[in-house]
Amino acid sequence: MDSVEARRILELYRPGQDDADPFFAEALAEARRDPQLGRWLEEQSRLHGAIRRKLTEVGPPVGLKERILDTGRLAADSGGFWRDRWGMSDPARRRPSFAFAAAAAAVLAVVMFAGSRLSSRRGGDDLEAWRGKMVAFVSVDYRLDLHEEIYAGLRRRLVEGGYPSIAELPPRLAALHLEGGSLLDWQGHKVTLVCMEAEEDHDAWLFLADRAAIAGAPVGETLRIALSGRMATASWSRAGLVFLLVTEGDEAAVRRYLDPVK
Amino acid sequence: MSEEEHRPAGNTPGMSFDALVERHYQGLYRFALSLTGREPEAADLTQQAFAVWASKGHQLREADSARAWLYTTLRREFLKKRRHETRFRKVEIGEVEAELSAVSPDLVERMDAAAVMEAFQQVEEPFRAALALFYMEENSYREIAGILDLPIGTVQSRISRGKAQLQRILAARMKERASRG
Repeated sequence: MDSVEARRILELYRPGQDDADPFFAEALAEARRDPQLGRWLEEQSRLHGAIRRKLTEVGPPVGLKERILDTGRLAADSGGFWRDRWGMSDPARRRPSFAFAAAAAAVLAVVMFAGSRLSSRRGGDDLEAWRGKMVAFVSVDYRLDLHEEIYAGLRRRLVEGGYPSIAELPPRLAALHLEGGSLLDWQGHKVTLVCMEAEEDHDAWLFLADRAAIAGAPVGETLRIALSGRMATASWSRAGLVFLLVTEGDEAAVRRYLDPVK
Repeated sequence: MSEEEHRPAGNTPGMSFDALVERHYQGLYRFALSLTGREPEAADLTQQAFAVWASKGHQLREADSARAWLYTTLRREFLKKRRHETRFRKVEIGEVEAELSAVSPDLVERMDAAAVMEAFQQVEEPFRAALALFYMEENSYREIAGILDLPIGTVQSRISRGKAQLQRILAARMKERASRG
């Protein structure tokens, strides 16, 4: 290895941090042999330390840690959805710290996307609470359980699992690119999420649940529009199911994906 | 077993939410700030990373991987937000040979931390994320590659070029300061 090659490698070297990395071993040995390279490395190491110190001097704003922790504490009583979602039987008793953390997700999402409000009732089995939790779910990073680009394939898997489904998606939703679905639980009831890629990189999410599971669900196909932070939602009922359509934007954004009859 | 030592799913050693926040929030915030350049946005991203962890982080098999997972998540959230705001400017990587400018460590030591961070913000984005993780020294190269979802060679190339950019920017600022007297 010559000093030019050693120098290129040592540009990536962090004193202390990378000492044990074999990638740097030969170049470091070369720097010990070559005084000029050694001096260059010493100067670079000092510069690295100076820049690093300056960058780490910049601290978080006052109160950020408390904001994260306090929000989590406020959330400690409202983790039902997440508990169900991730299959924890009784985290409040068996894994208290995780229960606290898991519960934070719902509330943090709500806080961050300002406007969505969790039901104050512990039961939370009404339309508003359901809508809030579903919006929170798609507001944070989530994983699709089922990847299907053809609705018939997705439906087959939903039926197999006993999850709510409909024979066909409403035409305007069917025209979007289907990404897949997720299998959720709400107060012990199965809920289906169908995810579609809508315009301008935005997604549209359709939730389906048994109407009997959601107290206060709309009667028939009477449409209910509600805004929740950056999300707009529309809900209606049909054939024993309650539907909740969620997308980013305002009322016009969600209406764009509804059939004219609604 | 104390609350601090609770075991998440999979019966692997873990840590409480409080301990996780305590250990990582400052580093995550700095990384977020290096990506966004704006304090409120960086704070929101940091909070969001912990929110996502709360929803699925317990699935991690190894508690030690929480740090890399949080950084990965934060960057993913950043990209998701950016995707809605603007398309990334395409930067041709590999066209320009990285040449380190002569920057005196002593002069950097005399600079204000905010000024150094401001200079850091001017490094082009694809290089900046890798460079931030490089300077924070909390992650090995393998971990940085995992966080950025890039091969190690690409990470090294971006760090090299990012360093060259940063040193050019710092050198220009120093020259500017010197000419003002």
